[in-house]
Amino acid sequence: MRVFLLACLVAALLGAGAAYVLNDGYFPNASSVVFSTNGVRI
Amino acid sequence: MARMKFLCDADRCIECNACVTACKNENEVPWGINRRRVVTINDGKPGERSVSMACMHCTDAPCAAVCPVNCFYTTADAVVLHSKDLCIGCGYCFYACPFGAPQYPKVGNFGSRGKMDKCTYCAGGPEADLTPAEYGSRDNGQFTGYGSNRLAEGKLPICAEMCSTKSLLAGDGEIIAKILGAGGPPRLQLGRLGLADGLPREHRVVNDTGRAAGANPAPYSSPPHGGNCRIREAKECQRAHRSGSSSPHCYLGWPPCSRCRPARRSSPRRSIQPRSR
Amino acid sequence: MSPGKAQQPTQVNPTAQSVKEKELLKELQRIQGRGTLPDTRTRVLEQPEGRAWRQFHQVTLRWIGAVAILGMLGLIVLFYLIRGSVRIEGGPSQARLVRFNAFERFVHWMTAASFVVLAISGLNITFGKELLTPLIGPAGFAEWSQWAKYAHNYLSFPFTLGVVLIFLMWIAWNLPTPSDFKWVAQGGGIVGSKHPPAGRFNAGQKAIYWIVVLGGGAVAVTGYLLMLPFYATDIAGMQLAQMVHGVVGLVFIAIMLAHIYIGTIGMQGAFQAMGGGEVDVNWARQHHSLWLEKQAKKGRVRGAAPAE
Repeated sequence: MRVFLLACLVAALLGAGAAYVLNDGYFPNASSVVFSTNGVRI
Repeated sequence: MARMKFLCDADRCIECNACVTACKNENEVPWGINRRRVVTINDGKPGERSVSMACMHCTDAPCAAVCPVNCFYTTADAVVLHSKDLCIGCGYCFYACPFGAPQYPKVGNFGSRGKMDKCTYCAGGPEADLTPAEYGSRDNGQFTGYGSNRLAEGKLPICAEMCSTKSLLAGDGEIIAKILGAGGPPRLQLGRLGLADGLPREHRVVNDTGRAAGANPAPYSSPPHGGNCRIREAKECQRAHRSGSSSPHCYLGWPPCSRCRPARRSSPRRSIQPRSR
Repeated sequence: MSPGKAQQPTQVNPTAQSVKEKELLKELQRIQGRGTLPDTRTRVLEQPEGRAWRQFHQVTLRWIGAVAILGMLGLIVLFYLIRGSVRIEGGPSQARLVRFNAFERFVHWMTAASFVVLAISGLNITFGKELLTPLIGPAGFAEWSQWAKYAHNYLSFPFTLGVVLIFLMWIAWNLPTPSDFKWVAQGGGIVGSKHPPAGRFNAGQKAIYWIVVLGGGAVAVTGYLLMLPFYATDIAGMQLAQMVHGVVGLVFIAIMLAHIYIGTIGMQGAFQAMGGGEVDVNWARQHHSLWLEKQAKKGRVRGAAPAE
């Protein structure tokens, strides 16, 4: 039971971490890479 | 009830992108989102054509069919709109749309999608007509609303209004079909249907073949106004010849007007001297 | 004198090369050209394959999902009614041995819990609007779907990590061995009482392992392609990724239903393996006799001696 709960906790933490990285700009200005013209960042 | 449609005459479009600019300005479309775009096919070759494309407001809209949250709806004018409150940004409407109308702001890293935005036929969204909530505002790279609602004011979409050559037509499908189907060059019919005052310059005939087809473009088999605008033709012709054109035809492709045409062909025709007025 | 009479014969008919409307309507390939906007995807005028994708997603995929999942549920119910739960021969004994250690169980449950949430949120995308909107209304359904989408996107990371760890952790015991062919030939002993010998994992479990690794890998790869839009593919690639993700996901769910059945009510004594980690010796003798022998030689059996 403890293993199961620990597994769920770790899954939730990994998910939250992914949400932070993907949404909160942990990689600064990463989204402007996809705004670029021919790969040149604007 | 009127069914609203777009129609772009590929023979008239000169890819000036006025429609694109007008749309972006009127609806404050954020950077990176292109509700309307102009595509040029066979660029630089004979038969080059440009088309202005945005949402086609389909009768059986594929975007509406595949949306997992059913955020699309069709108004009484047959305009396909959607609700940004219900949209979850999954992207399926873009996969299904044959015309690439849905656009998404990139709100997260690696381009993860925000709420979908697309051409609204300048008809706003589900909020109450002509309110600031419907128009929307900037919010961290996204636009929360739908832009201006011109249809509620009785106006047509700004892209069609701004089209410099009247190639992009918008409005009731039956009227547009009449313009297109009346036979002959469409620009003539606009005059005959009394819609010429919608044209940028009344009675102005722009021969667009001079643009791409080469040094000596051919005119239509009969001049558009039955030869009534001879004076205007002469003015055009004189301007062309003064600028140094040595073609026996004036640059518009018409045969030389009476004022330019020499009375006798005694000397080999090298250049045509315009007569003094 | 009208200018028309002085006309020279024409060389070029300006409208000769324009595309007729009829031709455009017959056009089946995508139409691409040039444009001036920085986003190079705007050069595409039409992509008719969107219609094919719509047909696939609205019709074909739903049929696949309905047949696979409802069919599997039906088969499971039938099987339970006919065969019932597989009992331990000779009843449970007092002797036990460890089958899965804590790390293995942790990885399994992290993957399984993520999978359940991923499955439900994924099914919501395809089937949700018809089933749930009458119950909670469009606004409620949109809100639920928004959170389901977040859960789906972010729990993909622990799921993918779990699949990778499962692959590395158990690869040694999931390569085909001669006993597998005999096991399959005898149908795993599922009918009748003669149970073929098996190692730590029998052939059925090895099949599940490879389905999880390969299917999980497929949904992970296609899922990330969908989640990071147009990072590595164009629109045709995105449509293909969605089709693969959908089909593999639905079949995956159907197969996992069978796995869950067998691991819970389908077989007495099976859940303990992943639950507490220890299993009954009689159970092990019945289902994994070769493994039990090896473990007994290493002295890992606790409790009463593994008598005949």
